[in-house]
Amino acid sequence: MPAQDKPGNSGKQVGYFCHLKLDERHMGAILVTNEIGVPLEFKYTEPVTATKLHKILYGSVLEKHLHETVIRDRLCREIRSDPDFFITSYDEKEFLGSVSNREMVAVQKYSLPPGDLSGPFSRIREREAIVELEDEAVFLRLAFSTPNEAIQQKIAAWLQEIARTMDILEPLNRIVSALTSMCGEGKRG
Amino acid sequence: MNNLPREPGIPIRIRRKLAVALGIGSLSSEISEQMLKIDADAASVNFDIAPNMLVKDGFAFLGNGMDAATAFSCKILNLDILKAPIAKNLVLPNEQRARIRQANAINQPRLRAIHAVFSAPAIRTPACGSISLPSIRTEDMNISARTGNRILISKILDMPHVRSSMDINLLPDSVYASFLREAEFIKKLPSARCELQAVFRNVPIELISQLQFLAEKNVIVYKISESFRTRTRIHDMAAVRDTGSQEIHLVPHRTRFRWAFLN
Repeated sequence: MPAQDKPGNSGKQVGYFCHLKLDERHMGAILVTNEIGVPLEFKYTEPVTATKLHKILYGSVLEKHLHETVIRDRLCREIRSDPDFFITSYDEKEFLGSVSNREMVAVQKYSLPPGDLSGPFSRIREREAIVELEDEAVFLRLAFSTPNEAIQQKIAAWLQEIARTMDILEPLNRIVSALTSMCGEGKRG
Repeated sequence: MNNLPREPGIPIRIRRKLAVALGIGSLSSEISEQMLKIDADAASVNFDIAPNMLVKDGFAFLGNGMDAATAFSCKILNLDILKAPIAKNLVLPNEQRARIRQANAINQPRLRAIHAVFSAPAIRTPACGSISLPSIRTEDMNISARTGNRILISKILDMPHVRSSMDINLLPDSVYASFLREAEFIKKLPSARCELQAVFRNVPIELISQLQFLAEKNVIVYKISESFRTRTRIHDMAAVRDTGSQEIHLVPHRTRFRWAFLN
């Protein structure tokens, strides 16, 4: 790491989207942090449970509908912050889209022997890539909602940038903890 | 009549009467061969009984004219005229042996009745009030989520940050040694008896209010205090083990830092 980087003049906002399914209850939350992971905005949904009739009538599209329309679109309407992109866990890669017109990217840590990648950004599929974080020998596996490589590279560069000031995936754990605790309160209530 | 077939065993006058009784009038030999071939060896025929012939539809051209003078009694009980009309069960009174062999009277086309158009179904309208219409419910189909307000932003702000160590085996030797030098300078630990336990990247040490190192998980857990700063420095930090006392010290690197802006 180059020591004592000169300060720039703008701070980044990092968006996180998390969908949590506990038992049959679906919850979602959006957290926006500054570039060291301090929360700036947090919105979440109360748990939603699909009835037996919902399951029958929605069939195989129920999960997608819950993830994308019921939870994510609802949260999008509430968000006031304006992060460049939204990060979500890799498990969410089947339900990627845009949040408030911002691209989502599904991320997970990835182990790779040194030298296996030709560059800091390697596409492995049309919508997947592996990116190496700067001077860390840490890799991230990314899944995109868009096949556009230019946008993918822009997202990857953004991730590399914010990885210089924070642990990219750590805030997702905080969201899960918050939702889980809230769900526990609901059960006790 | 002269052309009547000369069937063996039937006297000519009987054949004439039989032809008249069946209504074939001027029965020719050609017609008899093609339409109704009679082969009967009748020893005696009772001519007193009026002919009673039942001819089914399509066979009527044979004629209904029953000559009353013909005292021949002939009863055709059943005629099947579809496709190949055959006269069956020709019963001759007092017959001893009578047969009608051939009945290819005419190649009548088979009649088929095909209802090409379906009859319009009857439309029934239940009387008003007889069956109450079910109520339509739509609200159950709308799966909707409400945004919550039980988790306050202050609660999120107060949640601890957990930071995992990077793989210290991937650290360059120079960086490894520089962390030991930092430990010697800041904590007065001889580098000869120190080793790195963990290295954490980008820790905002200026904003941390509580910091804890969990050796078993190789993570640090910290909370960030409220601050009105607009920027802060984030440092790399090492967990250095004193091999003599087994004590672990958290040592931020003084020169490995970056600036971060706080919105």
